[in-house]
Amino acid sequence: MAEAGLILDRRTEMGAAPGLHAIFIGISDYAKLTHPEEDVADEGMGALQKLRSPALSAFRMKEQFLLLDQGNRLFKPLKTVRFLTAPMPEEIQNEPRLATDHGDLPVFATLRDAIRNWRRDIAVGQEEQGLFQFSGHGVRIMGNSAILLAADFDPAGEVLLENAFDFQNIFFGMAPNSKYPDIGRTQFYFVDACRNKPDILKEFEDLRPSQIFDVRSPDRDDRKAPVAYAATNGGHAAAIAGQCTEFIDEMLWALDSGSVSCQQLPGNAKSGWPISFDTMKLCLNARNLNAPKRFEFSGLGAETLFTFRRDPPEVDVQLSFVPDEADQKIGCAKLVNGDTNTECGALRGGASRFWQVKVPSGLYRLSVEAEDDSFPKFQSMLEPINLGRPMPWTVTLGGGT
Amino acid sequence: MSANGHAILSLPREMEGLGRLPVRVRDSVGRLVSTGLSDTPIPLRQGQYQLSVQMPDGEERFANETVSVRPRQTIETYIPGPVSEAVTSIARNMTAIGDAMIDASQAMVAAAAAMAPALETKSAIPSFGDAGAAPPEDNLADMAMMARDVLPEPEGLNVCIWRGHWLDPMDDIKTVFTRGLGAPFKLHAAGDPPLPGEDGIDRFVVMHHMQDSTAMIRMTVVPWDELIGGTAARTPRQIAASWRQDSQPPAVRFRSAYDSETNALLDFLDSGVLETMQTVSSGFLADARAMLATSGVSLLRGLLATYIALRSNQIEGLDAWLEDFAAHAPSCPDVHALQVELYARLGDHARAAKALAAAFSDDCPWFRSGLAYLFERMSLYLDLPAAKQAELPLSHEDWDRMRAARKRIAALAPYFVSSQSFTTFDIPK
Repeated sequence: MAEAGLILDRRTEMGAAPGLHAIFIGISDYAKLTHPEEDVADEGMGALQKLRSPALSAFRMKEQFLLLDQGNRLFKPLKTVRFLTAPMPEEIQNEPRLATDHGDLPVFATLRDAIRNWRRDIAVGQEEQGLFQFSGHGVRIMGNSAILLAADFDPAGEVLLENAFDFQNIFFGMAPNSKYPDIGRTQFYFVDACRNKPDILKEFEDLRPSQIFDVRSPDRDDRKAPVAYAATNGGHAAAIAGQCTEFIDEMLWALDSGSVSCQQLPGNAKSGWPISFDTMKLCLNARNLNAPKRFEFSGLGAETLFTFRRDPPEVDVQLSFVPDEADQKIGCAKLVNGDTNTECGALRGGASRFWQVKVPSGLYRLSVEAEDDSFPKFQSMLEPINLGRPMPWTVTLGGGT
Repeated sequence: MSANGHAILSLPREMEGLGRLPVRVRDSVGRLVSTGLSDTPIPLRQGQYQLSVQMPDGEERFANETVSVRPRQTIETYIPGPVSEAVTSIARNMTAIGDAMIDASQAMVAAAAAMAPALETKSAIPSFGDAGAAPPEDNLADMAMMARDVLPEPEGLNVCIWRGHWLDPMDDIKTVFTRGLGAPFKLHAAGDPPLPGEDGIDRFVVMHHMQDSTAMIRMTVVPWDELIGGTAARTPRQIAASWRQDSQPPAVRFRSAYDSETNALLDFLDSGVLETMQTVSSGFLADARAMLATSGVSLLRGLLATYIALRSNQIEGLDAWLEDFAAHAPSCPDVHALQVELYARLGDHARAAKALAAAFSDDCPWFRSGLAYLFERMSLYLDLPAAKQAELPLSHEDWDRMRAARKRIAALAPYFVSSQSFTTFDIPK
């Protein structure tokens, strides 16, 4: 019988060579919840309704990682992929492949088996890597504790959290322990769910969601295991119906572009532009100043490298020149690459008061000349231009001229 | 194998007070080839390199020349002074601590820069005084007042102090609106006289705000700093607090009165990039035990460095440091939280459980990570099968206390604010 959710299996082909084991879960069509266009029938957990973005988000993440793997952009190649979704028609309309390419239905029993098999694969050696993504309904207790709901979650069930599990149970269950001392030490987590606490949960003395793993005290926990959450404590994850969740949309961009410097890649003679949760966060913060308020990066070792680019990501540089009188007298503003001396001229923005120029990330000098002699030629020192740099870059010209 | 040479990136005097900052080394084509700390030799192969320093606000500043490293030679390069000599001399004459003076001096620097003929792209960094040097206590108030005189100051933020034990009001959270509140006072963006530290009681700054038309209070724990260890007389426990004027909901910024490097680290914490925080804190931890024995260290700096090491899971050798640190800071509430997490990560659950049992008699952990560590480990141990629980050196009373604490912290959890570094709760009225 096929393993739950397994859609890519290179275990035999790769043998003992370590790889990345990924599991993508996206639950939109909760069987026991009402449709979002229906009236909310209840309060507390009963007020939860079907979603219209998580399945598509898991699909897009899966596709992104297959693409990164195909382009040899992962530090460890994909060894297994597990994919489980429950899509809604609105998502299938947007991505017709979801009608057939949806993986197994993530009801609790199937999901539990898939996660257990995923751990077993990662546990074969310390160099194996793990990636976990969950998009769907969640409620939070505290810290890493977040209760995630399976597709057969029943708000009217005899045991409320029977078809739900605690992310903390997974996070600690993936630490090295007496049963799996050699589990892969590098693990990446994306938790794309709300982290608020419906009032009904306050009525329970002792919340007991179902367990995926036995609770064990971990051995020495020397993992690198960063976690990215879609919402801060008490917050809601956001999405437009039928589209990717806001969080996964931003993650997809950051997984492709979220690098800030070129360096020699570990275990590789070549240079590249590495991407870690740390650099992703930096780039997301610079891209969208609201991102840090919405997302949370936590866990262990956010600086751990995840993927990389071979070419420098392009940056939309915005330049602001002060005072206004000097800005009006600018004849030429350009960025000069510190390595190649390539020049890229900036143009005065149409609607914006900023000058704009698009350049590949790197080190640049800014050169500004007046159209007349109203201020002397300006040349900056070398400056790093990358996606982690907040824009605009404000430059004071002319010492009060 | 070719012999290495070394490069040193030195900071201008105006930036010395920031302590050793993270340095990046790039080769001639801009590839990042090494990292290190300012004023510290960085081993490099023969070649041409560009060195830069990471400022606490995230800005990267480059040395004004490319260095040529040769085998067995050490070459030093410099970050250029921030602005013109005129401005620099103003900055040098200031012995500021805390943001009160930072804001003030930036205003002065900006004013001076506007008059200076040279073209500049950067604002100046003021002097902060020597790391570890304790300015006389009343100087703090003088400097804060001086800063207020320099800057046009908005009215300030109305706050008061809640005093009590953090877990007490959790039977009915609303009691924080009526009990334990002190007299209102104003917190200014340019700083105020420091708040004295108090042991054995939790103190929270209480700020009022509206969220989605709901009246809320925000409570942020009040930490303190002091110099611990060393041979000098013990310094008073205190912390400078100011209003983060750009923050909505309102927030408070804490500054050490003793160590400007602590304040630089707090800024790195705000920028949220682990790699740079880790570079700074690992440099500190390498010397920290020796400093504890000789010159003393800032309590807050020690805490921050340990939290950062745990966050990046750099736990090698942390045990010995934490043992020394804990011995010098027995009344700091975060010490038990750090011990719980470190011992658990090391797989020493007997020690972790003991530290956990002790933690709930403590005051509230100052850092939100500490509170999260306590809750997560407590939940893990409470969920263990009975046979495994019996292996931990805890009494029935300890288990009962832990169960009660979990219930109370769980009740508190919906109000916990995870976007602030210091423990903060937002409570609807």
